[in-house]
Amino acid sequence: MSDFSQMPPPPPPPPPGTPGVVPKPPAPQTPQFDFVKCFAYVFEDPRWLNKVLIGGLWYLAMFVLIGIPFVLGYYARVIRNVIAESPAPLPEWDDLGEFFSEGLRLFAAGIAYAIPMVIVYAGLYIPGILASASDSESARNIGGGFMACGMCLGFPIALVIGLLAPVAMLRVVVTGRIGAAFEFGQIWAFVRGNFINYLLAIVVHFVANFASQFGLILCLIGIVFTAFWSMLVSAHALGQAWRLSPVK
Amino acid sequence: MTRSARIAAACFATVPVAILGASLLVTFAIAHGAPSGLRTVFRLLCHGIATRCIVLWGVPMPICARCTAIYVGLLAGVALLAPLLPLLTERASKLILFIAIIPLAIDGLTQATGLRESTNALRGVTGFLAGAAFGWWAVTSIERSARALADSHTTPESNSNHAENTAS
Repeated sequence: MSDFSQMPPPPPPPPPGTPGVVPKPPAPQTPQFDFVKCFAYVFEDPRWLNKVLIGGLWYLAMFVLIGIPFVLGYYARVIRNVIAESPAPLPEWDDLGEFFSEGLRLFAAGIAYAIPMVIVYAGLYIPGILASASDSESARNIGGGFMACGMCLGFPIALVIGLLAPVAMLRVVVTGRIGAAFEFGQIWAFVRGNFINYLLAIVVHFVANFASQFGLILCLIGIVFTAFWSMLVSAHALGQAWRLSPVK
Repeated sequence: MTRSARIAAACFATVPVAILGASLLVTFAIAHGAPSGLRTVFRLLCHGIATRCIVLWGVPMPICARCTAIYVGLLAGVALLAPLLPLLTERASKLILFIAIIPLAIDGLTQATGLRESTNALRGVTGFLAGAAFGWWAVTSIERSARALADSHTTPESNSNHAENTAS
């Protein structure tokens, strides 16, 4: 015991920056939302032109409804690849059956989310428009009232749906269940716990949507290709938001 | 032909059938007294400038001659040329697509810049070529991808090849 008590004290630690001393590794950086990557990743794929051109054709098919499940299925696959940090998130257009069935799930969830707006339109707007077109002044006033009510109700409902629906879609993509779109507690927890990243994803979505309108320059029909590109950008943004979220 | 290519061909064929069918229907309706405002429905797809449209029943169609020809070509490319898929590599079909789009691009650009005014016949021919080549290429491309996927499922050693192809 006395030996221990007589031991000399340990030398003081060398000052920082002393040659020959290995510095401590920097603390790992927390991953952050990559704003630029959302827009650039499509063009990093060597076969991006093929995939976007075919995607544009599918997007055109959305006008006649048949393309909707395929495009949504592709969108879901991109989101999943982004979440999995795949180096090439754009899938080939190779497994159309899978795209269709997955897209159908998303489509069903999307329809369900649109129901409140349909009710507002069908219950207030349409009667309002019909009444406004009548000859009676009192009917026109009532019609105006209906339309005003529709606007007052429709705007907040649209805002809430616009906020929650993308997360609902994300949950359907990740879990593979339509029911996941209606787990409102978890959806709200995701929005609250990941608000900044989610907000950035929404901003990316709007920027891409705006940029896609330049496709109209290409003989109008070019919009289908740029609109498809903007969907891919949104998919990447939402995938990132999910990946970075502490609450899932 | 793989299942995916068949699905794609069927869906891609539906698009021109629906759009051309609706366009014909609207033209017929306008010719028989319907309001000409019905044409505006097609504005999202085409400018519909009356002098550049094919005239049927004395009424210009709501989509221009070039767009009409592109859709007819797309239908032909998907429905008639798709059975010839195995004859070409994807590279060759892409080259054909590129060559087929050049006349349309020259015709469209020289007209858009005001150098000259095209004719409906020229719009029709260049549009048909581009549409047919695009439809053919799209189905060919899907066929190749689907075949690569199917091969990767059947032969374990080709899994790595498919992954490489997909990644590259």
